[in-house]
Amino acid sequence: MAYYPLLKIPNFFAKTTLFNFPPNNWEIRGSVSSKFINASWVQDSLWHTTSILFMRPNECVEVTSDQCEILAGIDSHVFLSLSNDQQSKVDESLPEFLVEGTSYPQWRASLQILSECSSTSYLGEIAPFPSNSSCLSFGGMFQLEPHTKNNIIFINLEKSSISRAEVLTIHNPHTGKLIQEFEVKNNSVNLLEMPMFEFEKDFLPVIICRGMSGIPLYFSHDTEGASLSLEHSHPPSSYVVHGDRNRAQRELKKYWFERCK
Amino acid sequence: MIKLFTYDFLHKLRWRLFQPLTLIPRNKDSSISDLFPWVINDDWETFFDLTPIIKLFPACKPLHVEKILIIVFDNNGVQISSRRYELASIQRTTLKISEFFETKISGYGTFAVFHLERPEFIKEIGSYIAERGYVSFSYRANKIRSYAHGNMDSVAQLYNGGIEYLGNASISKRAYHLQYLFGKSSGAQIILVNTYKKRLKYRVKVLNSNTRNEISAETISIPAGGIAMYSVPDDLTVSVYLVIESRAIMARPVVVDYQTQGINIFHG
Repeated sequence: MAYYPLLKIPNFFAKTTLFNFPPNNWEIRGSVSSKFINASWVQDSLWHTTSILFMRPNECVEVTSDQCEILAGIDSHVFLSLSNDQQSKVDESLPEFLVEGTSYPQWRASLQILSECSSTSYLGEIAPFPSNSSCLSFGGMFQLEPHTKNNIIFINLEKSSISRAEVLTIHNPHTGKLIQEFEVKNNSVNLLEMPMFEFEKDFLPVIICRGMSGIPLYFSHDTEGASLSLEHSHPPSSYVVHGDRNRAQRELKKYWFERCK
Repeated sequence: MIKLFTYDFLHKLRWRLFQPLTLIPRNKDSSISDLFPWVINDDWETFFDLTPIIKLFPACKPLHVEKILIIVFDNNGVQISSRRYELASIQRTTLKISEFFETKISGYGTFAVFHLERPEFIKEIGSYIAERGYVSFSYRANKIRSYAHGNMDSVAQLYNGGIEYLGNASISKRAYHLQYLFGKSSGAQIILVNTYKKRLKYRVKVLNSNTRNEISAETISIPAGGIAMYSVPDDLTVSVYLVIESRAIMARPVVVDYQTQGINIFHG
């Protein structure tokens, strides 16, 4: 089941737009039903889920981080979802709802970061990661020109509401040397400001989180907010197609986790 | 029960049987690439972050020099330039696509990035090396390039140096409903690439987001390996959705939404 994060970036406005129509005409038979938009967040080590809005077929609805702060508190990280029925739950486990879904592509939302004069988007969704998973990314999307800032937005979602923190590390690919480390939390949208003074133009940082998986989004902007860029990196399995892609990913992770200590 | 089973079977027959999203290359030693869009003119420049994918794998020896071939195509899928690279180090090399041309160029097309070997350990697991990103675009004087990754195994190399299209086409026409709301005032374009071996027609419909009524529609014919840029009408008084009808299994476009300053570019 797909969830849709709400981004929170200081000095920028963020919104997530949900759509009540599928991305294709052949995976879902018949017309779609009206849906509730639910917000889920962790509070006091429990998942709180409540329906916040209603969407008729073919409609779209924008949800802002400001709206959800009123509901869930300023420090909360809210994940949106769709359901056919109204929800109000408090549970140790993230709820799952029976709702239409697609695969070509996934039923996604539009995640957008806006400044006063520009915006950047990413169409995406997130499914809960197993709590014993990890992350490896080769971060090639940093922009090193003067007056630019680079961030990784590391998004994690797990079924369990038990809060935990892990370390995300950045390494030199040639030596494995540790360059920088950050604390990242589960069930959160973690904003990590990159230390650009360490990077050369052709430097390819190796980004590792041994104890937690997540989607690394690369968010770059100039200091005036006039131009922005947002894109995620592929998981290591995407370096190959067909065959045993999971084995390719396992081999890559084993090698780079050993090399970067 | 029998009726439901028959309905399911017919549904799968129509939409799924023998219609994979992409095809497996005929050449067992192929490497695979997306067909990345490039746009170059007075306002636009296109870049690609080249990384040695094979050197990232543990079975690759440290002194291995990774050979890469980049082929640039025009908007009709005709090869117009190529370059070879040898990467001895694990690094990011940002290439400027306009530098593939000896004279100043204005237009758009695609390019493919082939890592020129299929190492034994990749063969053992039945996989192919695939290049899927990352392309970036600069627009006017903006300091930040807008990134968009690749997302399709679109082309593979053939023994004779040519390329094989890996995109597939459906028996029936399919509709791709772009889950993005185009605002009233934004100039916007979508970029469509045909990765199927034959010419395909794409009908782009502009729908009123409130009523779902069709405001306009245009049919674009794209040759194999070709690319088209469709401009969303700029005189809109309402927000709109786009629907793309074609025989492509997934006619997923790259979206360009022009901002007061800069561009918002992403996979649709």
